Amino acid sequence: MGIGAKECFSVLSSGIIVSINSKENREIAHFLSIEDNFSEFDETVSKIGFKLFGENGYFYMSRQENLSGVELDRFIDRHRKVFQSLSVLKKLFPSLNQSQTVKKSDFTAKYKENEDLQKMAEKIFKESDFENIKENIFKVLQKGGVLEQIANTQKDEYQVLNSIKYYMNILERI
Amino acid sequence: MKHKELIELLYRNREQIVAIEKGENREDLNEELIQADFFVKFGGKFILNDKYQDFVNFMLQRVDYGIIFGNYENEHKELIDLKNRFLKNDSNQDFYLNQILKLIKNLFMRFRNRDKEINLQVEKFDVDDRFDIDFMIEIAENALIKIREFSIASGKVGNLLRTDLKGLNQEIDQFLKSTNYEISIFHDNIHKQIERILYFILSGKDRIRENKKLENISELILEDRDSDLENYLILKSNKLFFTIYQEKKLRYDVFPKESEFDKLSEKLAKKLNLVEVKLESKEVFLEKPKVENIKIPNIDEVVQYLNQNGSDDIFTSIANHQELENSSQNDIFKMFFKVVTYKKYQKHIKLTEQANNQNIRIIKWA
Repeated sequence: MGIGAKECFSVLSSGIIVSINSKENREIAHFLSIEDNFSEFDETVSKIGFKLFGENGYFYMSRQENLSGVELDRFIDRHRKVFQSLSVLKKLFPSLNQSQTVKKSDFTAKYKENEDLQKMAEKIFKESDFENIKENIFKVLQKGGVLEQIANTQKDEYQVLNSIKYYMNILERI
Repeated sequence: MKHKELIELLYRNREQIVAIEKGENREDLNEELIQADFFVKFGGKFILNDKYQDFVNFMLQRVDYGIIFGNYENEHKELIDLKNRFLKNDSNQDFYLNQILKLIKNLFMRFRNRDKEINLQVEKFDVDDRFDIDFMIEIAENALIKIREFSIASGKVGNLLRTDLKGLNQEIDQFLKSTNYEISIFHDNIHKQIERILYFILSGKDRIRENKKLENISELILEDRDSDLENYLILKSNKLFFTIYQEKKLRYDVFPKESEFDKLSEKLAKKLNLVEVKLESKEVFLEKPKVENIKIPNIDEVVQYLNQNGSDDIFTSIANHQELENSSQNDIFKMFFKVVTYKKYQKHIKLTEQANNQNIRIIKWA
């Protein structure tokens, strides 16, 4: 199936950052990497209140109209959760960067060796059960577009997507 | 021993060799291999000879951070020496020619191997997560110094091969011509690897800074002191990632229809039994209100008394009148006020300037 504006909108409007190094959304990223497609898509979505951004190897849409109070709370909360989850992950894998991979089994082994981090993660997630904390971190980072599960690895291996830079750029600016 | 026999010997003793490589302390080793210095006693136990270990590492593309690249200083000197001898000695030129060709071949192989080793080492930096970033940066900076030194040395040798040995002999020229292109590639590769190591060091330092920032923001969020982040997100919400996910399944509640109420009533009636509730009767005793005879002072009685007896102080006369017996001071004053203010009694009222013992102005009835 060919990828077009419709497929792009369907993915981007569901709140996903599309990275060029994503396997799942690779075709969408490639479609938007073409300058004409990018401009045309941006022009179309701008008519319904969105704006397309493409930087550092990832694409996302923003909403131009002001968010309501509830939406703004959710927007801030989702960013906060990604920062906190990323902080735990990077404590265990300090060198981790885009295009590298991380295994849940390695996460488990390293986490259990780090008591300080365990205390911090329990505070962040208000949870003492390790499995729940682990699932929470990977879920938040997957939804936030930072990690993508690699197929055929028994749900153990994840790739770091380019969009990790999106979050780091925010930190650079505050 | 022939090469084939050596390979067979190694194959027959492969388990011993692997065990020694793993660091096991074994004494039942093949004597032939010990005699050939294949197994070397070091610190009380046998280890593999470095030469063999290097060969294995190279073949298996393993690389150690402790690799020494060398500066080819000796080879450089030796080549110049051989060149001078070759030019001076007409009778043994073939011997020196062979020596020169052997050394050039050796240098070429070493260039080739170093190129591979450097490449492996740089790739290892990117994937090795055994150590902290700080330590990896330290290793990379050390490797960078060594590779830069190696780059200068290989440039010097390359220059010798390209210029100093050129035109010395047709066979040497032919050999150098066939290897020149590859040597220039090795040289370019060294520069690319230096750039890669520099990038690794810089991005490593960036990652240290980023990790620190992540740790800080995580703590601030936890302590509810992340107003800078919050303000930034609010300010830039129309330029940032649209994070309001659409739920795949929408759930909404509606008011039930009238017919659904009826169905619910029927279902409830089937499930529930009506329970008869007996009302208990209680006797309540009502207490009759007490009747109080409240005596209201009659002003006419008071005025009649004043008409008959007159008064030098109306207030004191009213206070002592039987109509106001047991009355409060307040009621006495109300009666006094009525008497002195009624229009029809004004002809009897005579005001004085004095006050009585209760500090009320003395008014006379005349």
